[in-house]
Amino acid sequence: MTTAPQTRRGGWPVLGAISGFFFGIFLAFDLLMFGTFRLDSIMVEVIPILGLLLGLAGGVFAPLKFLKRS
Amino acid sequence: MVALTAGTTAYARTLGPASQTRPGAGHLDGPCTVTASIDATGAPIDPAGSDKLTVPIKGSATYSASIAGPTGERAVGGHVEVALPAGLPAITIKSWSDDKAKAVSDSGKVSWDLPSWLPRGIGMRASGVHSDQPQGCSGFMDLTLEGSITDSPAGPASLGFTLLFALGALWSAIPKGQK
Repeated sequence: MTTAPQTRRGGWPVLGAISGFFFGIFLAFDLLMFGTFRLDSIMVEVIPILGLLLGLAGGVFAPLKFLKRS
Repeated sequence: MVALTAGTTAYARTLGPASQTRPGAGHLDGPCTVTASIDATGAPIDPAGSDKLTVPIKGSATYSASIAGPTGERAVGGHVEVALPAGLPAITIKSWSDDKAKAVSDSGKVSWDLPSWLPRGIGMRASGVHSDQPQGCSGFMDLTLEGSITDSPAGPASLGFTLLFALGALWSAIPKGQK
């Protein structure tokens, strides 16, 4: 009797959250340098939080199925 | 602080969001007159004007300010500061206070020497408030730090780290393989 191999379809939520957060920080930094918004703009704090949430969501749901590792 | 907060709110109602997002925009409210210029370039600092102001990483500015109306001895105070993101204390450029002031004008020089590693091209808002009797004044001006992205190591480093962590976030979104 054989059993079907278990497949974990998720990604890496912790890595995604951390990477997304720091991606957001440096992206906000880049946008500051390009003059997209001022230093006192709320976007300086919003973008890293959005990056964390997007990275976490990407790690949980792993939407990049076409790049699935074998 | 209370005066600055109230003044800033008043500017938002008076000018609307457009003036707060337009680079180089400034505003001066009250019976004050301020004239200043960057010493190295002679570029005027005019809070009531709309010309863009680029500030060097290191330099000084000569200023002259006066207020119409107050007479006699009274308590005055004020400061000029650069706003930082919410939750962080603003950087105070200059502050003053006097419980028994008699003068109605002041002039002098302000100098600054920012770290060379700071990324260039960043937009900032410098705001100032002067509390006086019977009426004070306040204003703000949008500034840009002089230079290009490559003038500081922080610029290319930030772009590199942005790409690095973007790749990390994308990699984490790839499903794990079968076990």
